[in-house]
Amino acid sequence: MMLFNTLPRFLPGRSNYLVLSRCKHVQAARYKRSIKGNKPLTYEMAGPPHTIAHIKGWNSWNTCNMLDGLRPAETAIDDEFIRRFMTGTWHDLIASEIIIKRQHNIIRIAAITVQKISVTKMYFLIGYTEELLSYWLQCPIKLELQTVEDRTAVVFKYI
Amino acid sequence: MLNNYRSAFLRKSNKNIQLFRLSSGSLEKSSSNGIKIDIPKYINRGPTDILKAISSTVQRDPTAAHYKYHDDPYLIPVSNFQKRAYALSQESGRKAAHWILNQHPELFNHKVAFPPIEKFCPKVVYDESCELDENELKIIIEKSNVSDAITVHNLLTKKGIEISSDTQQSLLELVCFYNNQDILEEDWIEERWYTQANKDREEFRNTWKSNGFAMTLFSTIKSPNSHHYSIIIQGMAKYNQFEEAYKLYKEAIEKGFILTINAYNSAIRTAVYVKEGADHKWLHIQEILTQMNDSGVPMNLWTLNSILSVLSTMATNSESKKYALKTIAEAKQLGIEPSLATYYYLLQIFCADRKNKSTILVDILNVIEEKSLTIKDLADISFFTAAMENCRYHLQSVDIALRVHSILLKENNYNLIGDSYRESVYYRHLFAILCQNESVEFLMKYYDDLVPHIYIPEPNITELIVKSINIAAAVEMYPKIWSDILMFDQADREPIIIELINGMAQNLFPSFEPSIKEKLGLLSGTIYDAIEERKETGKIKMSWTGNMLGNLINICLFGDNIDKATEIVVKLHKHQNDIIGIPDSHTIATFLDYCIENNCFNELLKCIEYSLEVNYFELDDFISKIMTKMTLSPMQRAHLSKLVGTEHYVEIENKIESVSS
Repeated sequence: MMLFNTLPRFLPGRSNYLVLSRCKHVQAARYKRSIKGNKPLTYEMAGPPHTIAHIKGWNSWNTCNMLDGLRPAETAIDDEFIRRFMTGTWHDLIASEIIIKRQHNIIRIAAITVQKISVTKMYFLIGYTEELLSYWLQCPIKLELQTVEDRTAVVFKYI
Repeated sequence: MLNNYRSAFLRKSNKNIQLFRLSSGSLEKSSSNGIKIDIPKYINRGPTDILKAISSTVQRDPTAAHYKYHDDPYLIPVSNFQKRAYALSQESGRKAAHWILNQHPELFNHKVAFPPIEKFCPKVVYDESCELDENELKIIIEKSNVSDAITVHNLLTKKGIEISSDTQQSLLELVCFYNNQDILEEDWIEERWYTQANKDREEFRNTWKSNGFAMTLFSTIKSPNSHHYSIIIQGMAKYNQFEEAYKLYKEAIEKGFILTINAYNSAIRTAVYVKEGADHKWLHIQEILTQMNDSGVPMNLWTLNSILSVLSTMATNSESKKYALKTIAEAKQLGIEPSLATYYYLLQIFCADRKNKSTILVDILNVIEEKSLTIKDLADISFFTAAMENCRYHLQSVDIALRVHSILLKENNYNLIGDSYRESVYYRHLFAILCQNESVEFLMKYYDDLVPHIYIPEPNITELIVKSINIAAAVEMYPKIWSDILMFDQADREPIIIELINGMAQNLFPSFEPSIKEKLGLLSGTIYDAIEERKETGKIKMSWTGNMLGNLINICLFGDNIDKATEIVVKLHKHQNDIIGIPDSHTIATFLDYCIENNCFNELLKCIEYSLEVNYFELDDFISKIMTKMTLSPMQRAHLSKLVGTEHYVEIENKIESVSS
């Protein structure tokens, strides 16, 4: 942000100024500062999109959007479905983004969950999610979960 | 950059290359002189062969839980109960999803996968509206779906569609094999792994459905041929309906049919129930064998196993060993290779007698050590458990037990362990042998490797492990074993606690390093707290004994944990009625000595208070010792005299003076 604020001063050209001033107003996937500065952000949330592949990774890992990639649109829809299914099934338990990794015909879903329910219930949900999603998407699904004691464990910074 | 290196390397090794060329030229010459290069034949590889090759390079990680559990500290099970609960919970979640699939099949009709994967599609439901023919039935039989096959068959007969005799026969085979009911599907791995524990109890119980579909189908066949008879006899014998099976067998023989070899095998098995007494059973077997011989049916592995299984039920009879040897010799002549089940039965037959020890297991191990084992008979999975049991009770030999274990770990032999129940029995025996016979270091090597991810010791095995630590005075193990006991939820087992406390108290040697001493002192405090906590919640019902508390005090003092020791003394004093017996006077003496040495007057007073209550025989000595060895301030002196009683105090004082003068 600093860069965008200071650059116009050094670059008086009219066109440059216009472009950069638009950049300043980009707000997709950036979190708004709260008044009290107490909004918790995870590591993933803290980095704006241009830091992907620099300080953080992607949320979906697949090769659909490469040259000659297969089913790009369907994959995007499926990913959204998986995300909604996960947050709904694991209600109030997911403490991170849901990372979806596709390799061959396997989909691996990674997330961080909160240790709010008993372990047996958690195993029940794991089995249920894996099985139902494989019925829906018709391929093997694997969950890769990590658990944290409470949500503050995944907070990277407050803004 | 790389290119530079490469050219430099090439320049340097130029000479070598030239040399190499020279030598290879001479090689070519010699090869043309007559040495033929043999190009190996192309080996056809399966789709997973590379994966198998890669996985064979990875060894088991003893610190990791089984891969069916999630790799997260919160989700890893630490006790037998948790292992079972977690695995079954996950499966129950899968079942819930499966239920939804079958409850709402209309939602899952989309086709994403190509080629379609049947396992992910809802089950097809057959009813009257379906267009059915014989081919459909054939496909269902191929998939061995019993209930569907029965429904489709009924629908077909209702519609009056003729079914060919071949299909009818394969349907009969299916229902006889599965006893008219769907088995637990292979997908439910955990349920299969955990529920087979009660199968042993059902051994020889008649579970054949006598009015089931198989019998109706059999009766509708107008002129059953030898195949039909064979199938139904096998089915009945498999589900322990021996009498009916034998009746049908006789009927078939009377009609002059030649049955299949497996039907004869099943008929041999019926001897267990049809005939009584060893001699009659043997005659029964012989009769069937002669009939086989007359019909020209040669025996096979399962004939051998059937005969031996009958013999193993009458193992107490002295003749059975002779018969078994005869059978084996016969099988050897025919070139039949025995399976693990054969050896299992042999163990049962030869080691039934506890007095005459038989070392047949060693001979068996010599044979199977070089072989790669595969499952050939259902009873194969009982072998390793039986072999380990034999090592424990019959041979009582560690070396042989370790040999059995090394064979189990070879190649894919671990698949033959059976199920969770058999596995834990196997390890129970293994650990019992290790505890009884080996040094603690050796035991711990196995303990660290197998506990807790493969095997969690049962309470009586934990007790044995604690015992062997006690005997070896391996004091450094105590903290670890205690934390394991806590983890396995066995801290409420009285024998283990008593054994542990007594053992620790016996192994207090002044030569230990201070760090170990301190650890022991703290440990004894934690043990006391843990037991107290469990007593409060009612998990432990036994009451403290003076001896146990005394031991704990000793350990605390040994490790400079005077606070805990005092706490225990106060406990002794306050709850005298709940505590059985009193600590040894030696313990009290140690306590007082410690206090005198470290000048802990308040703690000392508490101990004296208690000893006054109990009225130890050596009480006067204690007090005089305090008065002579400890420099007391007038205030403290007054305290002590008040506690002891002024008259008595003066008496003791006079005595000391008279002795010193």
